[in-house]
Amino acid sequence: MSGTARGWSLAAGLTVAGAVAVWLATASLNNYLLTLIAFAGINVILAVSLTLANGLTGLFSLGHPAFMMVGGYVAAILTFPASRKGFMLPDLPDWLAAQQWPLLPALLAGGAAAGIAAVIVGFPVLRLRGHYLAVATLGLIFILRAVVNNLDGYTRGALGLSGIPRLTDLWWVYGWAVATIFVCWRVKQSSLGRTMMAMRENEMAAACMGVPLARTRLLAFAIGAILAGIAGGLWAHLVTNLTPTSLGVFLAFQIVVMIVLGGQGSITGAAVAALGLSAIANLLRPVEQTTGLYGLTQIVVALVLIGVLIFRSQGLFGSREPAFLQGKAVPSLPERQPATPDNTDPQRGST
Amino acid sequence: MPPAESVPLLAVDGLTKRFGGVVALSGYAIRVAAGELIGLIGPNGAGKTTVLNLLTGVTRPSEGRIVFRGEDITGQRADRFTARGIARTFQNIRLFRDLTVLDNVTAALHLRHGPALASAVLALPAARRAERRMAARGLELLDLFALADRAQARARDLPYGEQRKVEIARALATEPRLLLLDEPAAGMNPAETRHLMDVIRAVHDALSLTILVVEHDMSLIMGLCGRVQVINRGEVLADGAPAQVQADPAVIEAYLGTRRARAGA
Repeated sequence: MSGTARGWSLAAGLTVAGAVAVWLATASLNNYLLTLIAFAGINVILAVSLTLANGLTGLFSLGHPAFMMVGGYVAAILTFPASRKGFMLPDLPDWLAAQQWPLLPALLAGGAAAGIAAVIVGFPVLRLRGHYLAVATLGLIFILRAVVNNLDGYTRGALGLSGIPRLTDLWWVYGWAVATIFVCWRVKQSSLGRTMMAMRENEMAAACMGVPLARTRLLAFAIGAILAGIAGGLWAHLVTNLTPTSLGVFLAFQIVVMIVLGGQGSITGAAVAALGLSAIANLLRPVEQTTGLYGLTQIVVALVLIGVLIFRSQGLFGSREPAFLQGKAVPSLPERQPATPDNTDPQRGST
Repeated sequence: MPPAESVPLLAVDGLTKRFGGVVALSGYAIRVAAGELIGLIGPNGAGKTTVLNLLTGVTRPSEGRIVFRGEDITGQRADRFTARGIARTFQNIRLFRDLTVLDNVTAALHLRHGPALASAVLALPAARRAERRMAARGLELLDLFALADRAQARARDLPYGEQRKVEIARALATEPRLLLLDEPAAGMNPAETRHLMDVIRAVHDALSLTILVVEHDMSLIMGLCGRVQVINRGEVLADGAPAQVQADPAVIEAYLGTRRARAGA
């Protein structure tokens, strides 16, 4: 019990420390750097949320950018200035064209839409395993791209939505990153998370222990998709324009690389790897520009990935969280008793 | 305890499983009364594991009916079978290898004791109580097998014999009425087997559990079971008290062949 209390106070302490860091950053850094940090934060949301499906449940999904697209477009259409919606998005029904929402409800609506999309898509797609699932979720990105291209009355098609209000700042990103980590952490530490890991370890045994496979799989997929949808909304309101090609296969691989580097199923690992890879990319960008060696970032990231796979194939943290963050006392038997079940057993009396 | 003859716990009729053109099991039937400890034996390839897979919903029968506690559960999913009260272990151990021993057991406790999703995510007091209860119950179950001190070890790091016991503890965590053990003594030496028999008997008596054991080890079957069913080539050959089954000419023929068949071979 004291262990849990320690865990909570540690979590609260880290959250406050992060908030102080965000406050210091917004007070001292220029806009360019703040934007880079915000991107890193969005990467944290993406990597951590994908951990539920890819790390805990053992589904190999590449579909995160598709759910970001759903969330991004829905949120952007909702926050778009009503005065310009009429001629830019002519097919929008009048009741929708008249709306101009603040960021929070727009993000939530985007997340909900992404979650619904995940449930609809998940029913057929989650019957697949391993590489087949990876390819099917990859296909999702292209299907969505085609849908956005063809619904040009709602999305401006290939032109993309531009002039999205720049509502996302570092505080928004930080808040959602904390929320994402909290949700995923709680799921992982709960018995539901344990059944997800059980599925990853052995599906048949999990089913025989009463785990409803299809429902659990869909749940992991959908929670991840909701958070990805919200991340997509944040992304759209940070970049201020969204085209069908903004969120694609390259991003999907980047997120997966973060998870593999961090360790499959480790939330700490996903967050650390997301920050680390974002830092590498941003530190190398000036080097690329001065030396003219464009693509250096990808090569370095690929080398890091190969190195980790060779020397530490389970990733930085394996499937675990660092012990000091766990804050969980190791449970023990109250006292040594003779090994006989007591009469509180639910079997008793009913037969 | 005396078996209640009137309403069987499990009633199986005409169970048939075909894999393509291969008939793995044909017209299998069994009645199991609450509290029985039954052995299921048969030569290799007789269909024993097929019976277990059908009785746990892992595979669906081609024909036949499975009625458990008066309810027809034929064709349902494996997790529904478990929810109704049928649990099992596996011939080739299927632990959640990278999880701790305790998490293996608590993962199975989720079925009956897991908190609701929202409650778990928000860390409501009910969820935290449920987590504590599951951890405590998991340790109790491990303690039945003298494994409580291994609770934090990774399941894959345990020796083979202990892994088998974790599998039984995990199956018990689903709080079954009927426990199916698939070759629990496979790979154990005689001393370990004897210890396992004591544990199975203790679990059977203490939890008033009904158990069906598939096993090759005749000493275990004959020493443990009040009733033995023999199958061969997918069909029931004999069913009765151990001594009676042992003397059955059809059983002897299945295991040893006949004089004429050997002479002809």
